[in-house]
Amino acid sequence: MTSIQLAENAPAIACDALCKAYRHDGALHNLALTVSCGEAYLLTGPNGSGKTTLLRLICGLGWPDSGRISIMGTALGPLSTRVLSRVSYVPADGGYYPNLTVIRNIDLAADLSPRTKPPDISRQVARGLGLTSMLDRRAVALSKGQKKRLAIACALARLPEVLVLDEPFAHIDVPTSRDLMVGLLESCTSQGLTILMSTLAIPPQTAIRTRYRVGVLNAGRITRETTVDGPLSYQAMLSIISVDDPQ
Amino acid sequence: MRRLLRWELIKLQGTGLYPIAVYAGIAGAGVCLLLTKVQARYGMVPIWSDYFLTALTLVGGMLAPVILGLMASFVWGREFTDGTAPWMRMSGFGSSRVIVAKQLVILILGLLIAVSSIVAELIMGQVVGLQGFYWEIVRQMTFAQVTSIVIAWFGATWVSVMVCVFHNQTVPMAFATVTGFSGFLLKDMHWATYVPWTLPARYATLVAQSSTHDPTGALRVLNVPAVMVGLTGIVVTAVVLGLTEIRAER
Repeated sequence: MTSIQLAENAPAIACDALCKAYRHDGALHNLALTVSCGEAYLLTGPNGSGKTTLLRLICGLGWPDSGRISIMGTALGPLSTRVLSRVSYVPADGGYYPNLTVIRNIDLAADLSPRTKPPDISRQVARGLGLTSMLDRRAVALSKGQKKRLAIACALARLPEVLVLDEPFAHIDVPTSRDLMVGLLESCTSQGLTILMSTLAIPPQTAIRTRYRVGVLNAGRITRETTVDGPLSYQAMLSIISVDDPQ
Repeated sequence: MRRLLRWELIKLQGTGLYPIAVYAGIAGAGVCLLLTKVQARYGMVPIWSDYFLTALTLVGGMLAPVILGLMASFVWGREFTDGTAPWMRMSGFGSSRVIVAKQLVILILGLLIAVSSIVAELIMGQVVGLQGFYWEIVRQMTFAQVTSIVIAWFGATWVSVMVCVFHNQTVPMAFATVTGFSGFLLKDMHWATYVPWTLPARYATLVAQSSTHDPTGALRVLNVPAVMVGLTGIVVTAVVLGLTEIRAER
């Protein structure tokens, strides 16, 4: 029995009036975002629009200058480790131990998560991400795309309720990223996983059957939100971004 | 806690840190044997107690602070350079337990240095036929070697503070090297008592200066500052790790 009192029907992620500024310029301006439990939300926008900053704040890796973030109805603060253990984060780079083998990395992530997991969770996750043939290889010896898949596997092995991914398809070939995208979004509906993903583009010809939302972040604000009920073409995605790109 | 410690130990597999700790102890013992033999060329009889005291001064007083500092830089810094630092905050264990597990791993590496050094000293000393062997000196010097390593480990907790501030390994490694060597060089200055990183070298000097080479007497002089250095290092690490932003990207 967890000691956290979760609010009934609370959204998985709720950001309200979020502001964050760096030394030279602001990254987020009065940003509001709500992602319901079991929903997939794709965050897109040009480079430097504040996508990574927003994801880092949601994962408790930084603090907003003002505003409020809550995960599953619990407000984030410096001592929110319990609620953060329900969130998994895939950084844009790294997220695994290069000296360890693939299976060791996934085992480590799974074992250090407080949630109860099936005993073969590591192999299940590795199978799902196409890593079965390289379980005993050291992570350092993997290609960039394989390393990215390993980082996603480590995040999934923790059986999170909220999965936050920063540019998960960088360095991954188009067919693999397409399969990964479909698999991740479909797991939202099948397992109730909430996904918040930043991406510059959806892989071309991705046939997503589930409903998801796309938010365009521009200069620290969400300037457009679109609910997509079915496939979103690469061209349509580009047009959403380009409309809001100040350049 | 045991689960965290086990994984912290596993994380270091393949990094070379375990062999480096063992080789450092053996190398320290070898260098000290050479120094003891050089002394013998100038008319001094090479005896076990001199050999042990030279090893205590060199390994415990200089080598261990530098190597433990470098190891602490790696153990902590790699979490930031490998992009795994978010797990320190998101694992659900709480940062205090994560910090203790990491510090215990560094202590285990330090004890590996101490044990390998003592074993190598015993073997090398027997091979070259040093004079004046008795078990009491082995017991005393083992205690002294382990104690100096623990004192060096207390100092290494401040390296973890540096890592949590700078989020890399380079600055803490430079800090560890400078403080380790300068502590050895400054240990005889009268104001060195107030410089935390001179403590391992001062401990070795106090043991050597004691007529009975009593390691517990020297410890009584330095136990309070050493524990204070260690505790404040751990507390400051917890505060810095809890309050600063974690950059996950390399």
